[in-house]
Amino acid sequence: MPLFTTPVSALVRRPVTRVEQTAPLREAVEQLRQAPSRCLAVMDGERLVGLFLERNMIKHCYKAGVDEGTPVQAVMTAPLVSVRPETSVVEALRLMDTQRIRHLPLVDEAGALRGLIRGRDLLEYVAEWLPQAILNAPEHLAPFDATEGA
Amino acid sequence: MPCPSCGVDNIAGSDYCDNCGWDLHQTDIPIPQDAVEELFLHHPVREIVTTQPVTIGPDASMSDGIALLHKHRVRALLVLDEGALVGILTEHDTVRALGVGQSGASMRVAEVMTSAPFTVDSDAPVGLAAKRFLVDSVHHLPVVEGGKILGIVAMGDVLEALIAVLLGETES
Repeated sequence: MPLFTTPVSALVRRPVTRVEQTAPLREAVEQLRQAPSRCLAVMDGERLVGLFLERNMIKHCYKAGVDEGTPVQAVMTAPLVSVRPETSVVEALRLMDTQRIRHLPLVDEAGALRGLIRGRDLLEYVAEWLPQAILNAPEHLAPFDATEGA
Repeated sequence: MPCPSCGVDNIAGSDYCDNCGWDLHQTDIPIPQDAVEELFLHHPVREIVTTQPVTIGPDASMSDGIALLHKHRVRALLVLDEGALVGILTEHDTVRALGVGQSGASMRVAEVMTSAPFTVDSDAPVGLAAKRFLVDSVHHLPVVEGGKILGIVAMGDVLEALIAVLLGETES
């Protein structure tokens, strides 16, 4: 796998669903339920300011008294770690490893959001490089049993 | 026939490799060419399993389920009924079922959980868990050993192992 020469943008598999930071939670939650990447990019116009994740819902949204009209920016994950789209895959992996993050937004020089990498995208990328037989190997490893047949 | 594990040629029809003892019945296991293929083929799920999963009963309230997801910072709970696996409750299930401001106090876990979830055996290769995550679009798999629940493996566990291998390869 050409991890040093492949730009991380090559791992983008799905469009990012965006929501404005002032959008009420009721609207953001509906979008989150439909989002193929199971997260939303929270925007201030064209600028990415945070991510709205299922984890944010668990942490903040099921308490009595939380209002559906609360702006999504009040519960989003911020600040964010992001990389340029041309960053190598290996650099992105190092960031995901050291920062322990599974969502990595790609932001260009002008600050525009160009995509989002999830852990699943990395798994799909690796799977595309593997011979088909690897993922179709038998379901059980059969360690040698020296006593069998003795 | 060549041994899929060590490559040594054995007499056709051999049950086990004369050199390394590999079970030659598994003639369709390819020889790993790098550390990623080695991880996917020859490392069992047991090596990356979380052996103390957070569990809950099917009759518990969703407010208790949410509290456990939050408190333990996990994305899934195993739902056990008298020790038997009956489902899995994930963040995703919860977000789909409950609206903002709903505590879930009047809703049972059994109403929201994913019933009869896919499982994986502890001696299955890591590649099989990866395949389930990709093909079945799940993020967590209960791990079974000897008919009992050993723990849970998440897509994040496979990714952690994969990233360690990939970064290890680039540094070697």
